[in-house]
Amino acid sequence: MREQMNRISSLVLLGAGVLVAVAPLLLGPFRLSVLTDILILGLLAMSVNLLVGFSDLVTVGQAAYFGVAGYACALVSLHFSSSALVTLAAGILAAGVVGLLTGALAVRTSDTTFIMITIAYAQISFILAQTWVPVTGGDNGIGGIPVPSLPFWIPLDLGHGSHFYWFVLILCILVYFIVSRLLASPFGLVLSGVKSSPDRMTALGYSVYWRRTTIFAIAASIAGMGGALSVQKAQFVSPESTGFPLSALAFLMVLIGGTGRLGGGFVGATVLVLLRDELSSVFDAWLLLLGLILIVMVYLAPKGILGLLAPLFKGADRGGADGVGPSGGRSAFPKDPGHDQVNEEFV
Amino acid sequence: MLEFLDANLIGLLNGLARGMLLFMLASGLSLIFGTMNVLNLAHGAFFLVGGYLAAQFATPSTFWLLAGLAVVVGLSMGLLLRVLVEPLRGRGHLAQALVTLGLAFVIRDGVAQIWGRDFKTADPPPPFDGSVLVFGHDYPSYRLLLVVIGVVLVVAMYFLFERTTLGAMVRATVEDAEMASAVGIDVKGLQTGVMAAGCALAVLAGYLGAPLLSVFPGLDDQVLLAALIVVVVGGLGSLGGALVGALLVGQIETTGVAAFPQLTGFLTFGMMAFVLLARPEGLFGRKPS
Repeated sequence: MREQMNRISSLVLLGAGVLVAVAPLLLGPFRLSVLTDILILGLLAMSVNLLVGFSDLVTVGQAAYFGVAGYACALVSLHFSSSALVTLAAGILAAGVVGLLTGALAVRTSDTTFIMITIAYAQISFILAQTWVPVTGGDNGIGGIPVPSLPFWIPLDLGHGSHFYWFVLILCILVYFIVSRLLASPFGLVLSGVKSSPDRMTALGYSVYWRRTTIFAIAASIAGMGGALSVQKAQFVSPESTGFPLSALAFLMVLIGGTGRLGGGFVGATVLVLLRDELSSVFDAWLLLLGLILIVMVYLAPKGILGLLAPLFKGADRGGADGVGPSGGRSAFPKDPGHDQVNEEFV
Repeated sequence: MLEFLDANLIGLLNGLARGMLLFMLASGLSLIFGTMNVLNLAHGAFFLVGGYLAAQFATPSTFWLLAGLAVVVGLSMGLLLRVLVEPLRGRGHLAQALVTLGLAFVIRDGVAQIWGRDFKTADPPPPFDGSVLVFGHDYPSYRLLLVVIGVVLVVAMYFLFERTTLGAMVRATVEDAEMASAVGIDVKGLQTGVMAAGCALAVLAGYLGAPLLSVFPGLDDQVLLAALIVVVVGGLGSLGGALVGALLVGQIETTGVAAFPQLTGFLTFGMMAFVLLARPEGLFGRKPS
């Protein structure tokens, strides 16, 4: 019975994978553009998930790095090179460096204070984008960014909607693969130890501070990849690409998709973007609905959609630390219930 | 110094009035967090409800009567919130904060569906609808009234928490809920009371603030962020901290913005980031043990 279930779920996953790969052949330009946006926002959500779900660093400010990378990508392509790989690298690097510096300061705090600092980062980046007019163009943003080009050995023409979609899809798969390897590496194991019991990890001689700073910078560069791709797609960047609202949206995507499961961000991005696009044309109470979904999810599906589906897809999503849980062998330490209780009661 | 005061008197008074409103909002937020460990992200939405009560229904003759109604509405919302978060006890901060965030979305969009998305204002009630002379400057008397109400609230809170048994029990609960429960304090009842009172303060703050601010769906986010900044800058769970934070943020949002208009919005967040990076537990918070 279980084997049969596993086979069916593998088939479903395989089918979904094929559909995603051939989507440009099935969808019109508008839908395809929405799907590309979902993948890009999924990268942002994945970076949030890396912090919220895997490192216990609750951030509601991740769009700061999405925005930093977006502006870096825009400026480089206007003044230096329109090569897609160069501007992408510039975005990732800028977000990573800013993430390293701001993260090193932010991870000195925890809990509510940490959340507030990340919100402050998001707002400060928004205000900088609005007011540093000579560089960012203020509210008008930066437009007229040339179509990104690829070297001749990559047979994709990024001016083309479907080619750009595949470009983004390949990068998403690449990032997913790299991050899941990272989480399974010694660094990832220490990280999961830091998440479940920071005091014990400190006692064992690991620097909790540096692990947190590092993962913060890594997450920032993933958000940066999303930001750079979004600018390459829209050929435009404005303060809307950063700030608190986008950060909060990415945060909700992770919660709805499933925290602590690598695919959660993409699932949440799909659900939220489709709901928003489809519903906003029918009635304008989108926020009301989102609120109700949130309340219902907290009670009925605390681990998100992937958490609900997990029993059906055993072994399909190996990225999650939560997925393996206390009985799984891959968590560095079984969750220490005593310690967590102390945290919840007194911190 | 005197010259500076004279030139900026209006701005300083505006900041004070705003700070007092923020204190009404932030003190409830801080107390609810202190006693129950719940970060109430619906606090701004409660403020919004109060604002709409004033903007939609209050007339000069019924203003104070409806202020009483605002308190009742706030108390009942507090009880509703208590019922909502009760089953999540032990699931940690995030689950509880999310429920309050969901509630905030529902309330904000709900009032937008009922009353539209336009900016609304309320008239100050007589006899506070005119202006008075303050050191040679005309100043709206309603704002002065807000400052007075704020001072009365601060004094009342001080006596309640520092001089009464009830206040001592609340402080004991903030300090250590388990120990408080062990010495016979009805912690659950106390938590319910604090939640209801805190939410009532939020609705009342919105109601009283409506003649000062424009009410619209989105105001809730603005005031919630401001109140959160006040609370974390002051130190979570500390009322004195909430007061200092509120006065600070009130001044920055008025006098500071008037002095550096190009830095609007940056100042408050910049100040918060600066304080928290230097002192993560907030100005009056205690270091976590």
